Amino acid sequence: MKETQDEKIRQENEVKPEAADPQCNRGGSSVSAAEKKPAGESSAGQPEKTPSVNDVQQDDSAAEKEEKKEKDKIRDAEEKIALLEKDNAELKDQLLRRAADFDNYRKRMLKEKEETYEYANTNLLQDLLESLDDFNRTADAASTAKDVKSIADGVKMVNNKLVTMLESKYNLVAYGTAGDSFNPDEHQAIGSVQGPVAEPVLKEVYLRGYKLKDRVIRHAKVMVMMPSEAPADVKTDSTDSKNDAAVTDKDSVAEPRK
Amino acid sequence: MGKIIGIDLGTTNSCVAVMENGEPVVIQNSEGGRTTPSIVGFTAKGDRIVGLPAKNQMVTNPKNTIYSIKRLIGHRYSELATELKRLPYKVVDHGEDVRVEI
Repeated sequence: MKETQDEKIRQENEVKPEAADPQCNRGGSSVSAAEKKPAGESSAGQPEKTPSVNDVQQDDSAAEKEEKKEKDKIRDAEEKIALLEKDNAELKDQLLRRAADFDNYRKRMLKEKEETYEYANTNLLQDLLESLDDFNRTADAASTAKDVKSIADGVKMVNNKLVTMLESKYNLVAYGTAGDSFNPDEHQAIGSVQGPVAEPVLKEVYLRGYKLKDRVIRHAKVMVMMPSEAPADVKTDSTDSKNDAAVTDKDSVAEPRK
Repeated sequence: MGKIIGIDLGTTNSCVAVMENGEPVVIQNSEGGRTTPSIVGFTAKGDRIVGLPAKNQMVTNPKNTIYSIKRLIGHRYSELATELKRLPYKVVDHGEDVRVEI
């Protein structure tokens, strides 16, 4: 009888650490309840034992013990179910709150982002004001000046100042010069010609490309010189590459598109 | 449960969004754009490029850059006479539908 009591108490104790703090009372109360029952049973059993024969007594108490054990198991299971249901409800509640929190957070972030976006240009504009002033002065001077060269020099100076400021303070990078290798990530081809080159190169740059740090913000608009289809004579000075009538495309039949 | 993604494969541009907390959020591509041109190009080197870079080199590689391919879906070769005149890449008959040859 002692063994089963200990076993039951051990089971109760196992439930306790798993459950959250509010559950402790439950565990505690179930332990005390479990302790009470066997004690109650033994005390209830006592008055019955004395008048009956020993054998019958033992059978009765054994059967009662079995019954008690079953009842205890069921009660434990029910308590566990109740505990789990409570946990479940709490978790669901937490989940809903988290979802609401996340939603609010996201709305707040979006709003902040929009605001930042609208006013992010403030710094840049303030720096551009200086160049604007320079241009105004140039325009004023140009209306009265007779020396074209000095105006041209002035404009050049203003340009340099502006470019330096944009490059150093704002990480603006200009790129795209004739002779560069053609790179579709950076250059937008608006025409192509054939030429004596080994791989596609830029023949002419119509609009310079600009990058902010490493991200392209404006692709350079270029004319690309493609390698002529004649296999040999890449290095010769001959200009008959354009006369190549035998320009055929690679008829490599790729797999039919599915 | 995994994430739910929606893809809009358009004739000219495509767009991808993911469901986040019940709201669709558009995913940006590697160039930072929220839509991507529906163009694929096969370069002379054998690379396959998609999106904006493919569009950038379209002019230099007309026969091997495929665009507006959706216009060909569901049509027989005989129905596409006027369309094919405008397309620089080669389209071949394939019975009930067509195929592209590059």
